[in-house]
Amino acid sequence: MGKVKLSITLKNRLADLDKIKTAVLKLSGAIDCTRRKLKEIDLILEELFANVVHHGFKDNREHDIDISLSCDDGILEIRMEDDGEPFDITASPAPDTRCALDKRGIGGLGIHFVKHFIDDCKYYRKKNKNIIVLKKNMAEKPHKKNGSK
Amino acid sequence: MEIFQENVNGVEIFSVKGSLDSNTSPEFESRIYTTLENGQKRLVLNLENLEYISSAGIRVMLKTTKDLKRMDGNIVLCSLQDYVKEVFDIAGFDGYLSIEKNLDDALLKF
Repeated sequence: MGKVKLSITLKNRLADLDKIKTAVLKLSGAIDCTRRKLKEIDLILEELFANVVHHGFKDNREHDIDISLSCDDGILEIRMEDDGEPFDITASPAPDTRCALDKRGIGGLGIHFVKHFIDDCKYYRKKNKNIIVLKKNMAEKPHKKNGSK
Repeated sequence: MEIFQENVNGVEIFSVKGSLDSNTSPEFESRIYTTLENGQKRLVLNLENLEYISSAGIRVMLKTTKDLKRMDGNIVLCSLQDYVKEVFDIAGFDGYLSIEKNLDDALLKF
């Protein structure tokens, strides 16, 4: 698998989610991976993007969100930059997924999904920008819930 | 996303095809709540052809489950693909929701 690199710039509006879907489709044509892995990448990118759109900006102005995907030697690196409010993904608490239904909120679930499906996560705040760098191993692992597979 | 809706013996079945993401979930929510407003409180979500779900789709299902519980109604999901099932498990929803292997088993819950 050769080195693949894709970069997209989105605006802070949910309609731009389509650009992520198109980028993932392009990625699928360039690297060797399963449809399952592509869904996981789709989910990671959507949750990161939706989180910034919903919570990242206090003003009503348009902002750029830069996402780059690079894949080398079976490792996908996802890098996202935005100039929104500081948000350290590595410090975000996990939701209580075992509390009673009445008390169960939806907050934090998207980031919880991101953390579940990636193998490494780093966060930096530089020049008023959030920079998130994630790594995902693209090799298919045995399914956790069905160890015999 | 496409939604096919039918009523079988007083149970409203929603068959969802494609993706439930941040862009498509509002339409899904609107279809469900139109049904609830019409007095229907017994729902099945047939997810056989649902290929992708994000937290936006999960949020609609959590909200519907809570509201139906308050209304003394019931919601049963069935035929989840592996990826969708795993997302529900990670969300911890396997403990709150009634999930059946197929539509026949789901309808037996009513």
